[in-house]
Amino acid sequence: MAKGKMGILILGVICFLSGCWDKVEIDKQAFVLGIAIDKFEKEEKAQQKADLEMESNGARETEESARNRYSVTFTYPNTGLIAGKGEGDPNFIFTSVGENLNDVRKLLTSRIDSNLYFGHTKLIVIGEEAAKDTVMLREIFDAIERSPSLGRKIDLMITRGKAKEVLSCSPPPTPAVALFIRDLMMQQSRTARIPDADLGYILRSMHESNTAIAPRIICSEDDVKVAGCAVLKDFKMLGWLGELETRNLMILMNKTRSIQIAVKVDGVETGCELRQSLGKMKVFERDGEIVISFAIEMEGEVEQHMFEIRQGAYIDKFIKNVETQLAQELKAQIESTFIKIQKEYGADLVQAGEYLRKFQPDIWEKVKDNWDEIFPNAEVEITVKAAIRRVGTVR
Amino acid sequence: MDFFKELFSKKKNNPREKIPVKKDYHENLDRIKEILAGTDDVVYREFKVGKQQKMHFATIFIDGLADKDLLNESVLKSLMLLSRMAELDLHSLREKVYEVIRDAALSVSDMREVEEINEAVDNILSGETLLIFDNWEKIVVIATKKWPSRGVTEPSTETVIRGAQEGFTETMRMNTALIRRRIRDPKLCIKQMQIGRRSKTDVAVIYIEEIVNKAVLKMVKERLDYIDIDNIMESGYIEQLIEDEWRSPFPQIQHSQRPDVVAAALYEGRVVILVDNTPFALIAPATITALLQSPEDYYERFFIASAIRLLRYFSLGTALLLPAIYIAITSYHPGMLPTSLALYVAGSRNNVPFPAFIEAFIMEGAIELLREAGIRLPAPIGATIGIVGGLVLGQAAVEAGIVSPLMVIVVALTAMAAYSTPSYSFAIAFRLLRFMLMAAAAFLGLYGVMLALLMILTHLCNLKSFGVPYLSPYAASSTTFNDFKDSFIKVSLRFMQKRPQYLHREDSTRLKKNPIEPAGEEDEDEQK
Repeated sequence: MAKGKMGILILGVICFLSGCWDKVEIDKQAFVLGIAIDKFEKEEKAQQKADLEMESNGARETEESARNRYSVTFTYPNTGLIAGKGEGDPNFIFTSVGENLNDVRKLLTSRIDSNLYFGHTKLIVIGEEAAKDTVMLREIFDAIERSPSLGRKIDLMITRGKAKEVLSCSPPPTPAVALFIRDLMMQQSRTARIPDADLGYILRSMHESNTAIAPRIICSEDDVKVAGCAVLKDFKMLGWLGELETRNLMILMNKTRSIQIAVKVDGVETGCELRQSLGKMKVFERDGEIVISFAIEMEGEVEQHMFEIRQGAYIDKFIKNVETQLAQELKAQIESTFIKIQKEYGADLVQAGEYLRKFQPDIWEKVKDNWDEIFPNAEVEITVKAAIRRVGTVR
Repeated sequence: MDFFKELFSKKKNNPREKIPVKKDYHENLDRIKEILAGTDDVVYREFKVGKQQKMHFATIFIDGLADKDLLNESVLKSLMLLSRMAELDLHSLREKVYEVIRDAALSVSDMREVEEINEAVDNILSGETLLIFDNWEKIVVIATKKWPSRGVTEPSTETVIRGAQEGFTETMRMNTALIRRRIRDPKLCIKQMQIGRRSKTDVAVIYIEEIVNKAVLKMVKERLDYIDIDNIMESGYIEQLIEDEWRSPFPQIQHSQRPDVVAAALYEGRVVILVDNTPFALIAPATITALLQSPEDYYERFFIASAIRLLRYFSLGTALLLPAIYIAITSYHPGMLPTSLALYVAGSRNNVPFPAFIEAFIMEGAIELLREAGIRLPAPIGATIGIVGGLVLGQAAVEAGIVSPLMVIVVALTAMAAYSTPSYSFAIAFRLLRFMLMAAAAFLGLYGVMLALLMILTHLCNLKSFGVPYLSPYAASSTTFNDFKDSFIKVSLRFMQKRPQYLHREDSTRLKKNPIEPAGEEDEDEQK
């Protein structure tokens, strides 16, 4: 009998002492949707009234504030407004400074009445200054990866200037900027100028090849734009890629949905929409040199020609013409982008090294130790084929 | 356990004293009068027969239970008037009065004789009429049972759109007739017995000889024999006294008010117990599939029937889990909701003063109150209570900010889902378990819900109804593929050739020949 009682006790202990006990009512949760991380700058300290008082209180506080490195902004929505009751601003924005990210989070609990909840975080914005600091970026990535509640589908973006400003702006359709960005990134028909790079990709790519791209976010008072990207290598941001360059990189990585491109054929500007049907990278060794080759095939339709040019877009010769010109144009653009990435940044964004490691391990054994020198000097071969499948309907 | 032992222990043997019928008319009459001393509703009609008025006769019956018209027309009239007209040689008749009466005088269809006074008294009490007369050491019992009874009406608790609209009544004889009309098989056995030391309630065990599960039948008969109770008010008494596990919230015996459901169960090999004075027949063994099906499933086309069955299983889950999941998710796992919904839920709960658990308990409690009030109130006011309670209260509670609008939706959905379960007694089991799950969710979140669900599932797997696993055919060793044809879906009738295998029976073939296929198509099923 004693044994049985013991068994019940142990079972009870297992049942009641495991599991998650942090019961917080949903209306007491502050759903942090956006996080902005900036480098701390002396001038911006003591923005908050409370901080001001705190700092004027004594030397110890001042000494502490000298050790501040981060300025982190959290935003969470006014849920009452969403449910149609309550009033006030659509978003609550809180900024605090601190030595590290967790420090800031804990400091903020002295100013926020709800429990900060990161399970629904949609957007992390990093300021350019912070992104260019190797130690900081490593710390940030580690903190993000270590957190169990942050998902891998989060959008991590980098902005010129202050990240905080991105969270402060309110785009008209959805006042919560993080939700706005989430919806924007989930659009089916979005342009290839927005890089397809979420947090999961960035972390994996950083682990594998030590390089990654992160989308660039630009904001004004009431307008936000996501286009272009930042190139990350060796745990810091090297520089930017423009919108078209981003698109070309996406083609190389075979991650586009559709691209828009125009060529001039017979003096008529012909706008086309192309979809990628093939984007295959091969890396091999030829005469002791590493060669990276891309086979790219695009197909699509003519979107715009010229009104009242009879038969204009139907003639076989015209279509062939368009196809060759498209291929040439694309090839030139893609090549120049690849060379910029290869020579200027030396960033293996297409993951050629990873390809070697997985599919050509014997070559990889030879080159892996000085891949950083070999990659910029590798030969590149790009073949582009374009096909027009539809020309639209005219009369 | 002691309770059980006591309940099922062998009957204490206290056989009633046997009083043989004497030859003396007056002695017999006095004996009966003595036994029925306090019963003023007994009518003693004494009269004399024959030209000389020398033979003493008496009829004894209970006013209200016996058919007086029949007595007047066929017994009294023929004995008192017609026998006088017939010129009978009384002397030669003196020794064989009974033969004459039986063969020539009484024009009633059903009569028999008893030799013991107490048995005769039992017959009086169940509505028969006694005929006693001089010089004969037996008592004639004339079947005159007739009392005011409700006619066959639509069963109020199990209504269907399609199917027979007649239900059982309180008179057992009518109920057996309703069953017999559906099974014109000499193998349909109706074994009658009386249970209840004082009530002497008629109980009938009904089964089809070649189809029935013998083990179940044996168990039913044994357990019925063990019952030693003073009265049986309703079939619920029998149900509670013979069920396998009294601690379980789940009904282990199905009950039904519909003769077609009962007949179908008999054809499946189950045993039916009819109890006098109640329109509810008991069906044993009960399995989860039987409790979750409606007779209409078999009458409608199988696509629709299957879809509706799946809906029922789904609604069962809803009725059990929805409030618990609401509590668990809003209190412990807000990350499981899509972001927009999480924000909306958080917003709608803004300023609600109670935690989700208390909120859910208030609303679920209110709904239970509403149901209970709805049953008690007379029908015309019942509808009003539904509107006042449901609409006004819910609306007012939301507007006052005591509960969130989402909670009202959850409660309403739960109530609807609970009502869609065909078996009332099965549904109320889930009603109770729902509160247990809500408490588990409030303490341990989804983890607690899963723990509680596992407990329920373990219990259900362990539960047996007369030796047949409750979860048949889902969790039973004797299940065959064939049984799944009539489980959470129901295939077309033409493919249901076998009766449920988990009830192991002899004649297992249900459908021997398939309907004629349209010309030109292969008739491959016919060979099966």
